[in-house]
Amino acid sequence: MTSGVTVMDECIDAFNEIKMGHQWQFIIYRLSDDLKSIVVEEKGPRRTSYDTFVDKLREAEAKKQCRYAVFDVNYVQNDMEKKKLVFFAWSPDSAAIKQKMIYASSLKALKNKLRGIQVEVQCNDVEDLRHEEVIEKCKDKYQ
Amino acid sequence: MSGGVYGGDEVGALVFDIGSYSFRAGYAGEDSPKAEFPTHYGFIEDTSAAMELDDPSNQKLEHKYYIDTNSIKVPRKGMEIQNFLKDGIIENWDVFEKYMDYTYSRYIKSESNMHPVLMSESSWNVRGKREKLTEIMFEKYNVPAFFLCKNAVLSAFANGRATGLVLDSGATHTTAVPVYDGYVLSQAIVKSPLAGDFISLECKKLMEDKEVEVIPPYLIASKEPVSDRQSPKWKKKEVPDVTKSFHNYMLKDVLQDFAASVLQVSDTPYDQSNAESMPTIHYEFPNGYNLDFGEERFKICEGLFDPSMIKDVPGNTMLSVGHVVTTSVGMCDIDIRPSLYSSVIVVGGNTLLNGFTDRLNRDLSSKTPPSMRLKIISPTGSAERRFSSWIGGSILASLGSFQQMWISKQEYDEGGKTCVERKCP
Repeated sequence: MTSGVTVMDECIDAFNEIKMGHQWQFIIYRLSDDLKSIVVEEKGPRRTSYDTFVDKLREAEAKKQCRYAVFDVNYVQNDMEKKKLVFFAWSPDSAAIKQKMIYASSLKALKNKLRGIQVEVQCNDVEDLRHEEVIEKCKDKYQ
Repeated sequence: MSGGVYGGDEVGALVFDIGSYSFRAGYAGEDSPKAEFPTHYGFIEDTSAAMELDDPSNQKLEHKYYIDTNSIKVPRKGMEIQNFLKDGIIENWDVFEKYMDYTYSRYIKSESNMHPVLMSESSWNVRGKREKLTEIMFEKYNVPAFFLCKNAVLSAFANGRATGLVLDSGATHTTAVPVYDGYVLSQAIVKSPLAGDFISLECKKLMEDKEVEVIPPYLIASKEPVSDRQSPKWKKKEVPDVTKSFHNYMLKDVLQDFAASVLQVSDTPYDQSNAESMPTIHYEFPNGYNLDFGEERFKICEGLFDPSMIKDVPGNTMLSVGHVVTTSVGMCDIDIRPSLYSSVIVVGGNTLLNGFTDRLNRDLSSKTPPSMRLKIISPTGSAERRFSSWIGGSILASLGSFQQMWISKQEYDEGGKTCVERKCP
């Protein structure tokens, strides 16, 4: 079940840029002010640190809002460098109930448009956003 | 599609949420429901009219119905109290329509064909009943648009999660419903009868053991203050010949108040000596009899978390609240279990018992592997916890973008009642 919001084409374009060309380190998506569509809020240049990305998400938290985001995560497993595109559903517990409801019910609409997400994480507090926590979810279990 | 007329922010969709204890209704976009009244109703069988008719086809009994808190709590001769739901699903459709009629005329005060309706349903509702409900709303109430939504999904969304385990402890049962990506995993729903009504029943047993005679307020004309444990001084009110079901309903009302004011869930598994050292709570019954409750405060709730504590039911196989959660998660795919354990959403009126979530947290931590991150989410306010699905529905139905999701009258006319399965999975 979805809320019927539309996903703007710029969201898909930005995602393809990160997927095909690795042009960005991360993308943050938000709902437009009239709550009818999902738009790109920010595209982070390459080599932006994960901490900066988390700070951006926490800015939204301070406004009692939620966000969606994609981050190009680098990690090392079995001495091999790996990259994975991770999708974040950021819905801080302190956010307004209307925000939580809209973001949770619109999640499916956005995810269906972004083909090629490798890992998906639902984050509700700072603990969920920890870098180690996210990497743990990226690692393949059967190696 | 040509939407845009209804469902917008200002159009006033209605939201109905039917729980096993109460029926909630109100306008979408508001913070709390306009009306909340019991799903129990009173009725009097009127046999006199039917007897006089000779034609057997006309001998259908005409019942007189009493709905809403104020009218069912009046003692009336021969009035039986019943519930129109069974197992959280609408059982008696005639009475359901009476409820809808009553809500529209008393609270909504507007025509039903003016407002789209979003309704919540139990996660285990069956196809036939969903279609029947859709049919009634379009054919009888002529609503311009309709939507049916699982209450567990609404509760999960209202807590900011598309994936999570919704533990709903209401009046008749405690259920664990896994929600994944906004869909209910219906094969893994687990139910247990240990919930609010069970607590009321345990309170009743306790009163019998302690030889406390509980007198519901409708029987009391006046009372005088008496000191602790003294026999009460009260005068009986003259009332008509009431039925047993009415008396029991009123009795349960007193016991529910008792449960809400006195009971406490113990932090650790029940231990007699430990419980005795806890502070007591004083309670005065409607007839003025008053006394302190000590270890009983903890003992009664313990059955929820440790069914072996329940008296008179030897070798029972009921699931404790913690087990309901672990069993349900255990029936889901192993890959999604961590995300369910990290979002256990606690809702329902029975979870407002003092200490409920703390104890659940403790029980679950001992049952889950240490590597699994456990997080229990419960809305803080009592209104949010009791009405979580109504509030979720209220926000959803008020969204401008949601208008394209509704089943419109036109779609219903073209596709018939089966469209509910497609539009509202």
